[in-house]
Amino acid sequence: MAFRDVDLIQTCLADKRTMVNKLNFYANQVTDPTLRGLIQDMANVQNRHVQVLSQALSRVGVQPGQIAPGQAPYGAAAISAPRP
Amino acid sequence: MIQERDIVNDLLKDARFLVTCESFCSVESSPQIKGTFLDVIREDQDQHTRLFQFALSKGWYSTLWGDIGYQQPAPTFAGVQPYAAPGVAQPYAGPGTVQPYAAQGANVAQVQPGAWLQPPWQQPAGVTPLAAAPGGARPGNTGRIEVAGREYGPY
Repeated sequence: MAFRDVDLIQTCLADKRTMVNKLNFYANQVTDPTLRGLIQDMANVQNRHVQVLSQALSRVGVQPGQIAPGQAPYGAAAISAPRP
Repeated sequence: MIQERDIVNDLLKDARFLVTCESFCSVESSPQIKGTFLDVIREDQDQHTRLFQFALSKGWYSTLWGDIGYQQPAPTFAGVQPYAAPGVAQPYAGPGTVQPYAAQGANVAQVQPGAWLQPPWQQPAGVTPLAAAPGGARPGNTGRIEVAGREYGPY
C-alpha cells in the first residue's frame, strides 16, 4: 500500500468520525421515531466504515491518526524546511 | 431547537459530500484498497437514497418542475411558464432587465422579475392564473405542455 493510500484512508477516517459525532448529536435532537431510526442506522453504518478503514490501515502497520513512515504531515515540509 | 427539516437537509448534503470524497479516494487509491472504497461508497449512497426518500415522503425536499420526484402538473401563471422547460434556455430576470416574453411582443401577462424563482404555490402579486391556460392545473390535465413545437411532460 502506498503512502498515498494511507493519506487517503486517514482523510476519509477523519470525515467519517466527524459524521458519526454529528449523527449522534442529531439523533438526540429529533423527535420523529422514523427519522431517529434512520439517523441511528446511518451512524452504525459510518461506525462500521471507520472499523473497515482502520483495519485497512492496521494491515500496513499504521495506527489511525499515526503518521506513516515517510509521510509528511500537512505543513510539515514548510515548517521543517531549512531557512536560507 | 433545530428543525428536523434542516437536519435532514444538512445530512443530505453531508452524505453527498462523503460520497464525493470517497469517489475521489477510490480513483486516487491503488488497486489493493480501491475495492474497500467502492464498498464504502455503495453503502453511503444507499444511506443517501434512504434519506432522500424520507425527505420526499415528508415533502421537505425542494422539488421544482423538471426535477425527479415532482409529481404535479407544470405550473402556469397567466399562461406563462414560471420555470423553463427542460432543454429550453431560461431567461435571466434580474432587476432592470427587459421582460423577455413581453419584449418579443407576446400577448402574455407581465411577470415580475424573479417570479419563477418562487414556489408554484406562491402566486406572484398581480398575476391571475387563467383556468383555461394550456398546461394549467385542472382535472384531466396530464401536465404535458408544448413549448416551441416540442412536447414536454411532468417527471
